[in-house]
Amino acid sequence: MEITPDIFIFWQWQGLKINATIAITWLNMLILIAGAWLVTRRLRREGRLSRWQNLLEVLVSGMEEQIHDMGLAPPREFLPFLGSLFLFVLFSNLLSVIPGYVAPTGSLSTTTALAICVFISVPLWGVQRRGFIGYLRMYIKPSVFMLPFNIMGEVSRTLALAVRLFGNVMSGSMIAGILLSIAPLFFPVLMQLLGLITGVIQAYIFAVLAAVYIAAGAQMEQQREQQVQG
Amino acid sequence: MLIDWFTVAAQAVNFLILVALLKRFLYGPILRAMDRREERLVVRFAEAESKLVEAGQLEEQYRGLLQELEEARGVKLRQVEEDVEDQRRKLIAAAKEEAAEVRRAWAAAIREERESFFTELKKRVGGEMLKIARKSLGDLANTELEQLMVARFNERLAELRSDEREQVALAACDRGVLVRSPFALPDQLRQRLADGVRQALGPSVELNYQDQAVMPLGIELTVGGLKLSWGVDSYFEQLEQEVAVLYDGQASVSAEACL
Repeated sequence: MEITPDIFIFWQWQGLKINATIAITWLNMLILIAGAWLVTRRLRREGRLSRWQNLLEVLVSGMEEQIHDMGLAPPREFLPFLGSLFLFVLFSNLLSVIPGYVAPTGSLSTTTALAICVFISVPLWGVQRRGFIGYLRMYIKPSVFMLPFNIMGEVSRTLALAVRLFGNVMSGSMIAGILLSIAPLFFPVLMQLLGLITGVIQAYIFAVLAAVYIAAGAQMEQQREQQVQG
Repeated sequence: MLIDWFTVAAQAVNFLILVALLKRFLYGPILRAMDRREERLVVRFAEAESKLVEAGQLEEQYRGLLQELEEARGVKLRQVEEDVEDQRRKLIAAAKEEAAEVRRAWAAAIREERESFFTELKKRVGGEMLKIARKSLGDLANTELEQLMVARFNERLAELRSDEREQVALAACDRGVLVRSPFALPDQLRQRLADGVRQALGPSVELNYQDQAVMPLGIELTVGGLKLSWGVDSYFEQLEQEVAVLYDGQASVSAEACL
């Protein structure tokens, strides 16, 4: 049994290759972008809204509200990054109910790529908000001796972020495959439904943890407290 | 090896492309549409608020106007009622006055008519009676009415009480006697009348005659302010009184019917 779609290589030339993970990711991107374009090309600004526009507005405004609740302000600055994380993971996980579809999030390479994006975005926003020195000073708090632990924590949480999503999605596929061989009638269906719930929860967890890390890096809470006190 | 670093790099790039495309095709348009709608809603809410305030002011203004109108209407109504009452009183007074005027005019007309009627009645009855008496006396006794009248006058003169006769005689000696009759007395009758008068009042009494006097049938003797007469006048007066009583009764019944 394969535990990663990376091994299905469709095209390879020297170091470059197109495997199932990349191809399905492109497919996901295509569906997401095409769907968004189809809905947003005819947006109504007043009167009765279309169902799809209503759905997207609820989705976008819900994500914006969640980001705001995390303490990230202004939410619209973080919405494209965090919202895309959530949508990409969610879409990949939900489509996995289709037989023959292999979720790109079941590949450790994909989850690692997403975790690295979060890993890089944390210092970017941290430096932007607190300055380079201010951000680096965060690693020697509360004392200089905490520097290695802080660095290890930063790396390990990125690793955990990647492995958590990969493990959950991969385990779902694995369990479905194992149950299919043991009890081929009803259990796989139930497990697939459970996999849908797990997929939605994992997408939410991934996006929320990314938001929390970014907020911690930018020390939004402290800034907000200072503003309140000031 | 579960991690393929080329795939990691490709997926990272893919994700960044996805972020850019979603920002272009999803978040941007949706957020802009929501913002515009929100702005429009804010504007509309502000408009609604201002219109609400305006409506409140208008309501207050119209309520005031309505109250003023109501008060003015009450005042006007009272004034009109007073005017109507005043006018009603005036009209009733005018109607009463007019009715009284009509009644007075009617009464005056009746009175006038009655007087003219009686005057005419006296004339006609007198004339008719004179004719009848003359004719009947002529037919029955072959005596002219004048003779009988003179004889009757002399008898009445002789029947006067002594005090009355003295009073009349005293006046007759000073001023003479005027004899009035509706017909011309012949000399024979004048002589008989003068004899009767002188016998009653004294021999030196001067007699003057006035014929064709406007008076009923009879002979009248005027001595200064005294007047002595005999004729049908007294009967006429009695007849007149009876007719007047009858006439008044009939007039009152007609007047009640008119009112």
